[in-house]
Amino acid sequence: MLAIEALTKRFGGVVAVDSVSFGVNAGEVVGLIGPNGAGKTTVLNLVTGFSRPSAGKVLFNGKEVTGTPPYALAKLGIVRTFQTTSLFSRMTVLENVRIGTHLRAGRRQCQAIGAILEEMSLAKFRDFAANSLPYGVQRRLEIAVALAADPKLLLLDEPAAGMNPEETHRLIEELKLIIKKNITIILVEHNMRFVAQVCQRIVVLHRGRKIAEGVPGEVLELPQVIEIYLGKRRYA
Amino acid sequence: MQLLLQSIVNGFVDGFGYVLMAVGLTLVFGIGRVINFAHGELYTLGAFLAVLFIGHQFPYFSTVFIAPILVGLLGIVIERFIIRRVKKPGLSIWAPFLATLALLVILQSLYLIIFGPDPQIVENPYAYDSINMGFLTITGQDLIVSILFFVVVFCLTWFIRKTRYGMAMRAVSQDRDTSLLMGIDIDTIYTLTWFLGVFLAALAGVLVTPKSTVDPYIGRMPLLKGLSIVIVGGLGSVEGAVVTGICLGLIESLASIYISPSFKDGWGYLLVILVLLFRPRGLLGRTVRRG
Amino acid sequence: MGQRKRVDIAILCCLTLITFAIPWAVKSSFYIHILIMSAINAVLAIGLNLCMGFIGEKSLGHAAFYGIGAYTTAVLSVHFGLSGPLNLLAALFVTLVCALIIGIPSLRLRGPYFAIVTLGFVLILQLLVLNGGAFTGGPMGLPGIKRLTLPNILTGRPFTLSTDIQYYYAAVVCFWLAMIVSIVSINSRVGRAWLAIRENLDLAESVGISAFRYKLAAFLMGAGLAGLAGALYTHYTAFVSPRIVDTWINVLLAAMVIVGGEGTLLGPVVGAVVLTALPEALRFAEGYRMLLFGVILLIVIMFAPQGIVGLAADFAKRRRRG
Repeated sequence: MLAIEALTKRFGGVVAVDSVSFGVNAGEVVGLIGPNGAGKTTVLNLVTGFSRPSAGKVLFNGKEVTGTPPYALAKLGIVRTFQTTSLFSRMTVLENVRIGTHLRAGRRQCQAIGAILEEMSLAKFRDFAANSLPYGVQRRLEIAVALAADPKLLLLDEPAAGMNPEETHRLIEELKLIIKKNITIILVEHNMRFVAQVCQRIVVLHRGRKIAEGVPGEVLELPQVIEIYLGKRRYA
Repeated sequence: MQLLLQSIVNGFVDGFGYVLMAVGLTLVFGIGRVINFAHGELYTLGAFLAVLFIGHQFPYFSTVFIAPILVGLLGIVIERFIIRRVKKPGLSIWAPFLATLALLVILQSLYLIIFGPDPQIVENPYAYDSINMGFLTITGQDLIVSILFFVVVFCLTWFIRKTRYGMAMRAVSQDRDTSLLMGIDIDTIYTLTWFLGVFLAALAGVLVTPKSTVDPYIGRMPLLKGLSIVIVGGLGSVEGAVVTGICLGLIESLASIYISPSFKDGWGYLLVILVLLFRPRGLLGRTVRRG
Repeated sequence: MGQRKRVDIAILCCLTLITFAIPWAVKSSFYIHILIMSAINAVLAIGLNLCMGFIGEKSLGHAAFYGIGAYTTAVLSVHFGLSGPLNLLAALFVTLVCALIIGIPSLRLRGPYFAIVTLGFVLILQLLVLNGGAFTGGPMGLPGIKRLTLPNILTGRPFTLSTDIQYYYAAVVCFWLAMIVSIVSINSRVGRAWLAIRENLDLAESVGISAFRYKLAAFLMGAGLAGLAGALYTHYTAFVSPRIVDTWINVLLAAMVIVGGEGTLLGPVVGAVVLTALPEALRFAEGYRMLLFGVILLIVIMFAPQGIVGLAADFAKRRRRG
């Protein structure tokens, strides 16, 4: 579904993303992991049109979409969430989701809003202002807004950040719901256990380069992957 | 040939005046993140104070130093009591910008009320002295402006590069939050910046007075030209302001001889529009275009 | 929710009544003039509100579109003899074209840059108008503009607007046109997109809202209304001068929107009425008028940035809760 070829991004003298290539098939859940500064969010920005690549291509269902602006990508079905809580803070939960359904028209819009509020257990918060909600609920709302845009490919930027185990568990359940809808997911994350539980495949980035790709069980055992997190020294 | 040389010299002198305005604006924006629309009115205040002082037989050179300092103090008051209040996160980010617009209106109307709309003249002993080199005439006022310009630029550069406060100013202009964390007293820096910026505007006002008349509306053009220069040179870039200011002075001077005398004031705007279309960062600026 | 809507509708009904019925109560031509100018300024403020209040882009060049509309009408009237609806349409068209030319490159710019470009546009326009020679009348302006002639749908014979009261009604029609445009767009998908863009641009983009296109839409709407207002003004005063393209008017318009309440429906109307009628009614000398105006603006910005309508809304909310 999504193919990234030799994607590169330079900021002045720094190469944030260095010729990264990988692909994601329809219906998959792929994790993008790596230590801080590895370039994960930059890759996300490049794929979703929030940043222009210095080189390389992004292909969606065979068609090149490199450099397409975010709103156009949303029309194609590519939607993302943001690393730091990003909502329409002063609007209510209902209004937030409603804006998410912007691209849909008429009655289907109303139905969609109701359905999403139900699915994401947000119905009881309908008329609350987004900035008055507890953190976990806000993060849930963010995903709800993204879902409202009817994505075919959903890119989540550190969805489990700052969550306690209970919230994380809930998140995993929600992701399972999303997967059931046949939505392809790319997940940028730090939390290894979370990634291992949810992703079918992971791609590991380090200093802008891809250093490993494969099934979580295998990749997470690779020495070079362990090294980037724990360093070269062996601990007895 | 003589015309060319003369217009180059005039261009430089005009340019020096523009630079003073522009540096003030760019400092306040680069560090305080506010575009001071009232900047032109502070220039006017400098000019009016010069009229007052010289009218009461104050020596010219004292006026050149004292008037800008007084206006600079007003700048401190403005920063502390108005700008600071409207920078609170609850208010819209446009509040400071609009507040300076309101100040523009208030100041200009005060000048109208206190000094009246009629142009006033400043008697300056040096305006009539000139060095006539045959192919070139440099008036005493031009010399004063030029010398002061270099003095000011030199002092400012030294201040920003070598002193603690100067370095603190640079830090704040680059990264406000980190500066706070490093223990820099941001409030003092903002106040200092406003003082400097306003001082420079008033200085420009004082220096220009002997060459032309003073009325409540003279601040408009310098503000717009100052803004143009700051944008073209890069919002927040002092070097950009200096280079662009001098260039603008030269362009205006030469263009009014060789192209069209009545479009003189339009070159600045034209440059701005071109720059904003093709290189919004300005020649040497930092803030980038969105998306 | 239902209650708020009912209050809004009630206010609008009252407003409709007032605007159409006033000439029965007010006969003095001085006051009619103030009302006409209030209506025209309200149209301008409503247009600017769409740009400033709803999408958050502070335009310092709104008056430019007013001037373009005015001058287009003037030129067509004086040099080509046009004075009917065609003239109004032409003014609208020219204004929209200019708005496209200015808006497309500049709406992509961040932060203060947009404001500055619009300011530059006003200044260039001013220069063009001043140096337009006989075409634009130069610094002295263009006198002798024909009065507006409209076709009479009932009798088929065109009639010319010549009395103040007639122009008052024309201004009121223009005003309601602006209000309708405003109300319809704000309550539609477009309006919601505007609010989304204002609240969180990146998020709005990520769900398919093209910030640029919606901003352009608001900008064009505002400009079009301003152009229309300018055309009407020209026919009313039968004269146009470069003073119309002054940077001052922009500050005045911005003040109307802010003092009245940005981002609200009635805010610009309230602001326009207050800032048009008050100075005229107070009849101070020029300097004092400006001073008062500047002080009011500063006080509002510092202490009541939501404007009059915003304050009223907050007050009503608090009364309902407590």
